[in-house]
Amino acid sequence: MKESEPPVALKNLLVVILLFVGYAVAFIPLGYVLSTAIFLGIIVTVIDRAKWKRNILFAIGFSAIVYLSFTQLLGVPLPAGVLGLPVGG
Amino acid sequence: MKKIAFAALCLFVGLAATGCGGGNASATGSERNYPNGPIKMTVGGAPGSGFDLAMRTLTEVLGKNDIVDVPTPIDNRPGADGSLWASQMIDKYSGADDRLSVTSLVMMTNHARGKSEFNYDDVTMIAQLMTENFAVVAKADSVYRDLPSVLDAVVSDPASIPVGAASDDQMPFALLVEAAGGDASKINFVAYEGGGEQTAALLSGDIDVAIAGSSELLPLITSGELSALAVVGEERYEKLSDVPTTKELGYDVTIANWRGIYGPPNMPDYAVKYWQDAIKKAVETKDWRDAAERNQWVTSYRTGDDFDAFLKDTNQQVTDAFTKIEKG
Amino acid sequence: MDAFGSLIAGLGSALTPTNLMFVFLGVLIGTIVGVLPGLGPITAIALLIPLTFGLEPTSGLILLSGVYYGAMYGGSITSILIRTPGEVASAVTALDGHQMAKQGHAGPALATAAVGSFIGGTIAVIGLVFLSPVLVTVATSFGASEYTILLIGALALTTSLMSGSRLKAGISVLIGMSFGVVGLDPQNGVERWTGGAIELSDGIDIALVAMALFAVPEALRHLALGDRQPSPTMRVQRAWMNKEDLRRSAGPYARGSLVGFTAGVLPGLGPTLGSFASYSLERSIARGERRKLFGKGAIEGVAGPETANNAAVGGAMVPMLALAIPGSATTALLLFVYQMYGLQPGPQLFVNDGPLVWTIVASMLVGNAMLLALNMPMVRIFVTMLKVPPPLLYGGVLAFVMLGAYALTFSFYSLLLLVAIGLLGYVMHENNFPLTPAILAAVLLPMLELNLRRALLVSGGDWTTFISRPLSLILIIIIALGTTVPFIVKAIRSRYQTAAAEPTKIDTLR
Repeated sequence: MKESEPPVALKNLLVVILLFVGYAVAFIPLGYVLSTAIFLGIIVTVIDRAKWKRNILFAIGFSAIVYLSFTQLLGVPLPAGVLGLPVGG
Repeated sequence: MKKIAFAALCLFVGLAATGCGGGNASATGSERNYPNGPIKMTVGGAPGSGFDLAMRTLTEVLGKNDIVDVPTPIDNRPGADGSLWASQMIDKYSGADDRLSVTSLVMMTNHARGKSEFNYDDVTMIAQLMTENFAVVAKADSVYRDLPSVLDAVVSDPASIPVGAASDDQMPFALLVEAAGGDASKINFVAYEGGGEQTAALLSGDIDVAIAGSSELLPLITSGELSALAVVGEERYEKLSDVPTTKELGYDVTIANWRGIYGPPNMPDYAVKYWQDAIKKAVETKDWRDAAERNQWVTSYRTGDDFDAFLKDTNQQVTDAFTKIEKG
Repeated sequence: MDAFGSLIAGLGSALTPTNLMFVFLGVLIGTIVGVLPGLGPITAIALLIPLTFGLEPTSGLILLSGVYYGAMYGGSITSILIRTPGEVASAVTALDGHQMAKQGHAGPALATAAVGSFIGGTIAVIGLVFLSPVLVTVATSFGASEYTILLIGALALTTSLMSGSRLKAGISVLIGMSFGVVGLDPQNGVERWTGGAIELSDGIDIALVAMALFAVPEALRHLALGDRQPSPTMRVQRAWMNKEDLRRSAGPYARGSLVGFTAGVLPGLGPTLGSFASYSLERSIARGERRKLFGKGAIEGVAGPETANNAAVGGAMVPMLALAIPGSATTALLLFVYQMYGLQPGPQLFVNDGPLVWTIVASMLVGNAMLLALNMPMVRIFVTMLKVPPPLLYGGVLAFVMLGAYALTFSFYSLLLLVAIGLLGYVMHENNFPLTPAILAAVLLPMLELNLRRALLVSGGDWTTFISRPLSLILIIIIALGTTVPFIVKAIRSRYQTAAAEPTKIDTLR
């Protein structure tokens, strides 16, 4: 499988891993929307800085839509965190 | 790239650190206007578990019948049969009046087995909702036709008769064997998870005898594939009215499973009183009776000294049983 | 003809507008949660149970059954497109399905999975309707000894999943097994490898292991590569199956239905084992060049498992409805829902609540057809997922996986485990350790341990129980023949060919 795949630069890998770990740590205290928006916003911008407007839109849109559909439609409580958003269900 | 990421990490860690402060004991009111904010109902089991069903039914009945007019959102915190959440309740929410949870006999068995360091007296027990008796069951065409013959066989040659029981359901059988003069530590228990697995094992002939909550194996008992040999307790179980109780058969073992509502340690008296009244009203409604009928619950509302005495007696039997099972 | 008449009557009520709507809603939600990495059928059903409280029993059960088999298909979509299985039973589909996508054959792979799901699901319902009474007798004659033998057979099959270094595959199996050890000992409740952490006493959820080993390494890798646009080969995709694809899939469809249904009917096996067994079977009966293609985009490796996991869903309904014996955690939840509605699965179910149960069974037929109709046009839309810029796609995958891990226990511990196992998976992947054997081992080991120990407890520690029970002995013989006969045939054939002094090179030429 891997033979055909290009090698990964260690520096980039470490950045991605750090962000992923940071996301896990911040998930509950910051709440779903804030932690996810920050995580997605940064990770996408790190890779493609030129399209920062699209990235911000994506990060906020993704976290807001997912949060609303899970808490409101499915009744899954997600961490509200510091924003103090209402928990659905 | 590096700089942005570093800045981001700082931000994450910083925000996380400030966010961590919350979650301490809180109160939503005083004696006069309680409750004036949402009351969090935490279930120490996954959605769809027994704990979950009991709690959801209760909150639905409370809301639908206007017994409680503040929101009662349900939160699932599964882990270690509810012990995980109980430890949080004790560590973080002592003295709070806005949190309730549901527990059962498992709290005592986990404590007796050393799986949990907390027991029922480490939290504020508010009210008992229901009880469920255990039943000893065999395959319909088994050589064992009654409880005494099963117990005789276990007493004389324990290895030859494997007994199917979820690990938490072992102790009533252990107490029965002791009452019949046998050695509980020698019983050949085979652990199964839930009535379904036990049914399969009984039908395939892997085990001759099983013990479980009396409602769990009910469908195959009613249809005649399995037969109930005895119900553990003093009074007969309504749905198995022709099955003798252990008391009738002369064994002094009455331990039963129960479910009840508890709050954090040092919960204020006004809150305890409020919920005891609310739950009393809830279990008297038609909605609750219908739900109990559907789920084969035996409603038994207990509070105060009555509940304390029940808990104390049950815990004593649990402790005895585990001492006997483990003495080997 | 009795069953047939009842089924027709059930079909009549399953086709009323309300019920049709719930079938549609069920398969739609199922497909979506199947697609989302981190949310499998079990989480979805658990989360939906509170919402179905207020529904009529028929509607609620139709909805939740639809979620179950819809998720089985949905799981294959991300497996194929981004090598990120939406649920565990689709993990094996990623092996060849994703290779097909890489070669521009994502459309045919998705179509093969959709058609396979339909066939498997439909055959299973037919089996459920007409063979239930017989199957119930067979299923209940399987005791712990028989399961032990079956599981050892399944473990032997895993060797066929191991490509590349045997040592690395072996290590992978050990790592997978070690995930299965964590938690409470299933017989006497002793804590194992928990480090005293109460959070670990329930063990590590297999869904979490699957996410961590498949989705996380893949996403980390793509993000670290930093591609801004999808690779050009991924962007050109053939849309649908051609005749050749269909011809190659016919055999796997038939065998997958049988294998999956059987795995479903036997309580204690289930869809994951069904799909893995089907993959192994297809790979071991493939010859010559086709065999070499496995792991590099063999359509048989998509058709078989995807048929099998849907067939297993129908199969699992047999012991659940007829005996109240759930074969998996998901069916245990469904059983609970039946009871919540005041229906008691068991021998009396069809007598007491016949019309209702037949409606639900018939709704599964309708639902499978609907799933196919829904997904045929959707294949094109799903394929566009490959055109999403990789940072957005894989960033989203990580976000969903984190959400999925959180929804398992609602605690930080799951997130921590996800990250830790995910990083381990990344290291393994980068060093050419195959990850599929690890997942399978994590699924199989706890089942094997449980049944082996039960078999020995039941027999009083007598190891001859495996050969003294007739059924168990028969299974041993079948497995022994199944594993040795191909080698013997091969040996005889090669000797014959050498003797003929004219070695035919058909195998290598074709």
